[in-house]
Amino acid sequence: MQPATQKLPMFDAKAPGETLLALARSAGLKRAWPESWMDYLKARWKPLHQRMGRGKDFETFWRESVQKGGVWEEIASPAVRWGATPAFAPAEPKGQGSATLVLYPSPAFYDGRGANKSWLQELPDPTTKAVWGSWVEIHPETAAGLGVAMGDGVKVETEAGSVVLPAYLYPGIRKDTVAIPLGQGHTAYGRYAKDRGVNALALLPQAQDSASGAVAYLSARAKLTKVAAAPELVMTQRDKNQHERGMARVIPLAELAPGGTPADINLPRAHAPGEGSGEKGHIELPSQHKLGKYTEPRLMQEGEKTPAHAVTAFVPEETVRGPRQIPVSQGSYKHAQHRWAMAIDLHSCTGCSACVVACYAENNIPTVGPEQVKRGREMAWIRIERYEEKLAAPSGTQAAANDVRFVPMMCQHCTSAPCETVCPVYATYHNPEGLNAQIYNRCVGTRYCSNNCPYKVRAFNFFDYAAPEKETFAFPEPLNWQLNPDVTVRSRGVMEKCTMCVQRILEGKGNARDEERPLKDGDIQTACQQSCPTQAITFGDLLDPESRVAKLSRAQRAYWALDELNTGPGVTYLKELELPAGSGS
Amino acid sequence: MSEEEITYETEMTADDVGATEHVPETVTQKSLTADCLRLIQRPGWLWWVVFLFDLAILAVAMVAERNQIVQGIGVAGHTRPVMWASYVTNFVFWVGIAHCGTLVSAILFLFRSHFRRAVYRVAEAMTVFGVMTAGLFPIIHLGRPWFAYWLFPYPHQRQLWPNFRSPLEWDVFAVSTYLTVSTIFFLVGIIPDAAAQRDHGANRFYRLIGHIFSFGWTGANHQWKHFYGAYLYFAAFATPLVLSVHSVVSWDFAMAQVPGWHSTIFAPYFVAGAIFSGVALVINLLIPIRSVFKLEHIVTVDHIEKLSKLVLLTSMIVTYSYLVEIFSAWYGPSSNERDMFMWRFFGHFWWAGWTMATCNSLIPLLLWSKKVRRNLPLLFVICLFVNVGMWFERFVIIVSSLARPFDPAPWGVNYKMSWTEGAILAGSFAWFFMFFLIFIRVLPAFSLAEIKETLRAPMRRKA
Repeated sequence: MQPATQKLPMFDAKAPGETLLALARSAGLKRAWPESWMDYLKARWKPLHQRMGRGKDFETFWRESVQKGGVWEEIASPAVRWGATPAFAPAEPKGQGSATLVLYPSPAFYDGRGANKSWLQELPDPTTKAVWGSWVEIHPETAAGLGVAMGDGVKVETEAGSVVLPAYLYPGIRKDTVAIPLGQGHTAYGRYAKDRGVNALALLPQAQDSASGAVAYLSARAKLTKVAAAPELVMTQRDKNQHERGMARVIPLAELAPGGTPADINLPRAHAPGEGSGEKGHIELPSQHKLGKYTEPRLMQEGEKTPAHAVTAFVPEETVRGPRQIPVSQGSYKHAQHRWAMAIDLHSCTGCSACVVACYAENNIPTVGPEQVKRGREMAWIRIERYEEKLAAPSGTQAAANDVRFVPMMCQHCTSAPCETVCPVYATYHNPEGLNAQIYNRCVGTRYCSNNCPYKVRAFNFFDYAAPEKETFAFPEPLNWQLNPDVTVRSRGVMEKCTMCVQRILEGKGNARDEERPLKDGDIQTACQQSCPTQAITFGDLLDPESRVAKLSRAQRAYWALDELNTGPGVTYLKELELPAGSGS
Repeated sequence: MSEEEITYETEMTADDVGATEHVPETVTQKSLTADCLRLIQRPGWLWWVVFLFDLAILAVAMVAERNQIVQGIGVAGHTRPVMWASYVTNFVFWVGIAHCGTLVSAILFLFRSHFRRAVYRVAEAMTVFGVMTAGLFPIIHLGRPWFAYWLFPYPHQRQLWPNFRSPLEWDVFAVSTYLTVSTIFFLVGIIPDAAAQRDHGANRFYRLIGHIFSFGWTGANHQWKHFYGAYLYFAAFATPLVLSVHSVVSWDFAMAQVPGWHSTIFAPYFVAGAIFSGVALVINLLIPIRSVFKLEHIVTVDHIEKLSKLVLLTSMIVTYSYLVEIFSAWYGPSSNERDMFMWRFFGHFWWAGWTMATCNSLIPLLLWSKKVRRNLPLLFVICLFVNVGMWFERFVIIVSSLARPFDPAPWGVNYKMSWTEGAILAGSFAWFFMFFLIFIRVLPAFSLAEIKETLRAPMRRKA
């Protein structure tokens, strides 16, 4: 129970406790119910006050507890004893089928409690890249025995029931098992959860895990048969082979540290950027090495004029009306003070896709539903590309293991951006701080920029996702309340893409200006960076040689995706480490 | 003033013209005028059936387009890697069609190829209507078509200019210039014939149209002098445009770095392809017109055979371009490019790639035979195949290249045409034929003045 400043403006809502009390009253339970949830709570805290009040009166005790968030007392920790034999053994799976059925909690929905969130429904599963549904994972050899190809319908039958699912052929699963994610197949719960996929729990016989008392998830064998009709398997990435395009690269550990464990895996290259050693794989920093002035928002000197590009609504218009009044040295590209850039450590990336959801939340990205995703029209500004590589089998180990690599792919903010030259109306241009900017209200929708983007990171508003009166509206009540007020909601027919959270950059610069100090490294965090549990994403200013991103961009592990195209990306990837066999990974 | 009294100022006499460029001797100046004006004034029920059918298709297309404007460009089949598809294909196709007219009327005029006289008016009309059709597609395919005017450099309060580095911006200038010049060329060429219609039209309506398009022509000697001067001038002016416009259109692709687009051969390759499809469509138009309106004596088999030789020539150039593209993909350093060409012929869109190769390279090989060239029904079918093939050529270049980008993650999201796009494609033909059908009803579709130059002088025949 924490005090709220006022009732929520958008809903006529009640606290959960009030709801329960009202329910209890209307259920006619014969008992004297307290007037309000507050009274009820206070009554429950009375005994605690007796025990822990330390002589204070109740109101003081209550207020202090609310301020602190609770009361605590030390308890003695019980001794833990390790047994020599396992306390329980897994039950032998029951049933007739050929494959053991593995049900696993979905990374997005867990047991299904997240299923009514459109962000999570549209979030590609890290393993299969499938969205808005369920599937059954089968080993390709097992599938070949059944005559099943990717996406074909498979009927999975156990003693308890049967479901029909599209097959996902995955070499990462044992040949004698099939796996189905939990969390879908709701018959109610909400507009996004209802009637998506199947509820795999229907396949489980009534059994309890003897040790924990929970549902015995690993307790059934399944019989598989091919069927003609099945729900479609909608994937955002169908091809998980990188076809030697060098998107996800690895570096053997031995190459980083000959003869030993490296102290720091982010050591810089032998050559400083700009020296141009000419050796293969040499990497230079993106453009704009030189420091400049005048692009940082700051307190104005008396009589000084704002650079034309830095005009905000807070600067009186007359000071900027005539562009000719401003010296050419101001606001120019040459004198930019920052070059925003990103470094992404592929060795840290686990493919969890939290950044994707964070990006949806931060940037008001609409969800479009399975029919549109099928046509590649998902609006995500960042996607996690998954590549499955076969490693050569090291001697003395079993056959080739799968090497799975993840590449978070977003707008690379190229120095020589292919998208910028082709836009006929300058809707996409390069701003002085190295950002590839997209001007939504100038875009006419030729989509040429997306065609010429080698990374295919531009998303187009094919329908009106922002108009409440349209069927395609992506933010129906109450989702409209989650929109970020700092970010435009894009209308139909315009292109959009990653901005490196330009609204956060402006906020950071504005705060620095208010505090009359220069920007520090780490002042600005992008949404994807902030949400990355492994801190794989680093954002910062390349022109600050001490910034983390500048150091990482010069690391020996650094590479640019599709660097043969000379786009000069502002996003630098750090190669995944290839660890010696047997060391785990 | 009747046509007998007109003195033609031309160095060419009938005897200089090769025998195959003649119209038969039975054609007199009077019968020629009568035949051509009959085409205008007595359309027959067939014209009306075709015209109404055409309007019905156009109406369906307009419903589809209205739907697209209201709901969004998403009703077309575009996907994330394939952001251009049938609309841009249609644009390039119609710009290509539009090339033939200027070629036949301007370039062949400069080369003194006199067989053009019988066919050039149809080709020129096709040019103007072809550009008018093509020009719609850059607007139709926009996400926000109501802002299409932003592509024009016009002065406004915010001092924003279009991006002159963008090939799409070059297109704006190339296509609008081409429309202007080909329209002027068309209108200049039609002046003496419109005057004949003004003088001999069956009723006031036809005479009025003749009045408007004859610009006060009297047939005076100095008018002929200026007329031929202007005609030569515009022919010379339009000739480089034939080469430049489609080169610029090809740069929409060649300037981008997409594998399968980024190639220096694109400009000559596209120009040849444009003439190829344009001449094929002229043949497709002329064969039914001459048989329906009984004009076999004006547009002779010889004339059409000469056009079919042009088809054969350009087919060879186009085939050569295909081979060079494949060769340079194989020989060049880019594995992406190599992969692209394998995919083009053996990937998801293999059928489009082979349709293109069959229709554009194999079927026109039949034209090496003179018997085939003079067999009009067969020639008609071959030319239909050529046009199908040329549409697919653009489809293959645009869609199959885009569906296979550098980054393999979006691979497999293949484009599928929607009914909206199908309706608009059909509608583009309806739009084109609507203008063409009206044109053959209101203005002379064959050049009276120029064909008369090849007639023997009446006096000489009597002698």
